[in-house]
Amino acid sequence: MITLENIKKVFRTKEVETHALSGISLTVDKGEFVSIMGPSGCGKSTLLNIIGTLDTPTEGKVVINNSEVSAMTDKQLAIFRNLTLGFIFQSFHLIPALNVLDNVELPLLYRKGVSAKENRRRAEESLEKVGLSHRMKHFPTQLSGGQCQRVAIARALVGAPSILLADEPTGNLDSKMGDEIITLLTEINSAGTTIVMVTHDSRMAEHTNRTIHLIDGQIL
Amino acid sequence: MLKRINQYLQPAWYNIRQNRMYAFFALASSALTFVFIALVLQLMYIYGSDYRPMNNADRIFRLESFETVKGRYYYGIPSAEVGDFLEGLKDLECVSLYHKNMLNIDVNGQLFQNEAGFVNSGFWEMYGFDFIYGKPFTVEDMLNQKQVVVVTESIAQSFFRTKDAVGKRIAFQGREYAVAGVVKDISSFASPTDVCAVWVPHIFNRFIPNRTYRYLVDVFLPPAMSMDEGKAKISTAVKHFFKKKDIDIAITPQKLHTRKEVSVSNAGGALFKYGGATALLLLLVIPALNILLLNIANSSSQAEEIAVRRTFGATRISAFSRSMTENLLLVVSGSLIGLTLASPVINAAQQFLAQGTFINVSMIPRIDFFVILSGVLPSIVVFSLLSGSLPAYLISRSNMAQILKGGSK
Repeated sequence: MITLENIKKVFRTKEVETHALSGISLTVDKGEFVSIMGPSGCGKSTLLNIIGTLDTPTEGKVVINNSEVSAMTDKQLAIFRNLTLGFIFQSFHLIPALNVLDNVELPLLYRKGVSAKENRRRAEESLEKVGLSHRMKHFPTQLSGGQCQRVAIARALVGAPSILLADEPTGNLDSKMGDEIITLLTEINSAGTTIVMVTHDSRMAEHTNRTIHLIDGQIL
Repeated sequence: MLKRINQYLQPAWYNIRQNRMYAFFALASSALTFVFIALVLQLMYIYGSDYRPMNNADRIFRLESFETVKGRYYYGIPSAEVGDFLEGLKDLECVSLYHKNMLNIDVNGQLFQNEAGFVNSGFWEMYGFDFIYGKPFTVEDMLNQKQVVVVTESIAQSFFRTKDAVGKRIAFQGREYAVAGVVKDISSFASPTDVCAVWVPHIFNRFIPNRTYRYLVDVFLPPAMSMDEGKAKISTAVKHFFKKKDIDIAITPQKLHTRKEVSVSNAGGALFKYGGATALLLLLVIPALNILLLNIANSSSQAEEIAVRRTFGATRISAFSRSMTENLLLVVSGSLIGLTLASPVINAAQQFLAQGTFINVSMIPRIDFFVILSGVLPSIVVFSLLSGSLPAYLISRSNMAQILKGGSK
């Protein structure tokens, strides 16, 4: 499902060259729930961004669902992200001007051939799955952190992606809310969605099938 | 599609409300810019096109002053000799007489001081005034000694509190006149020498008997007549008229210029064209650069949202469009405000400058629809692109991963 071959990422400024990833190769199978752990600055988020096509590697090959993503154009990548990937961020990144339902519906707006009514139905269904159907008309600023993350999960799931990428999804939440979110992610994984999650918290990593440890841009 | 537009408009409106100072500056500077842009474009239109009432100006010659071979000047044609002078021009399409003077006009016992033009019926055939009510006075009216006048719409409004003043009565120089027609206000830029509040048949001109006053004669060439032929006829007629009085006029066809040529030359000729274009360019570029710099400084408020959109499937082009929406909302609204204010602003300025004088005509009575359609609207598009496209481009190309690394709820 996800294959990384010798991925290197170097950040360059005029004076400094930082090797964030130094030859990472890994495979994530369909339906797996993989966590990536490691100290700050070890390259976890960079790796996740490269898998999510939000960033490009300096060297190496990324193959997702048998497609090599580095060969794709901007438009192809946009479609690919829309259809295949779902993203959850530590800071939720909801659009404050839009209400919960509109936030969740966002990925569907970039799909063609689906009616507005159907989009709305799917967004409502997705919110129901995360238990927030009673907060549809609320705005992000009116929700708690846990609720915001649930909305973010609903937004990530609404397009039925085969892969969910979560960057410290419990990082901004207290332990109770963190537990709720990890339980929700486990349920989503049980339904067949592949999940790659970056976390600092070993307690959260325990819920996953496999943990990859990164140190200084390399797999331990 | 509607949903997508709404999804663009809502966050744009939210960001505008969040950044009120920026929004105010963008709105105000766009409005101010388009007050001036609309005025420059309207002025260029007035001078550079067949602007009414000067729509025939490229075939009209005004015979105003005549230089003798000895370098002496004669201004106009003495009133008593006008008939004789016109005899020499009778082959030509249309000839109008023109004499302007200040009158005390009595409207229901209230006195208004205004400039009046004494003209013949040919004046209305030659110049393309827009009659909004009534009609001009005709040859028959003049033969029948009908005491009628034509007024401008703003004068009708100020005299009678209504623009439909046909049949209403005014008095001056001991006679009472009925309003026969009301014309749209004309721009004093279009025909500065012709701007009057009231036009009166020249047969009622009571300034004439003392012979001090002289008429200007306008000649309109027939469509079939070549300019060379027309000029030759005019110069021959002028020479012949003065020769009878033993005066040698140094007129040649080459020295004759149409009213259009004179108007363009008075406005600066080629310099006016290039100056106008340069002014327009500067008016577009300088405020656009200001807004552009503000946009770049303000782009962080959009960056996160746009990165999120791209993460979930927006292409760079749609990210660019989303980013442009905010700028478009502000710039287009500001521009439309400026366009609406252009004419009132210039007329208010004119009123202020003309305090204590008798000037009551508009420099620019309105911004013409043609100018709006062919000049102002394209300028709004150019202005929006100039001020918004670079920041939108930069945002659409920015590194999503880096933007989404930080961020907040």
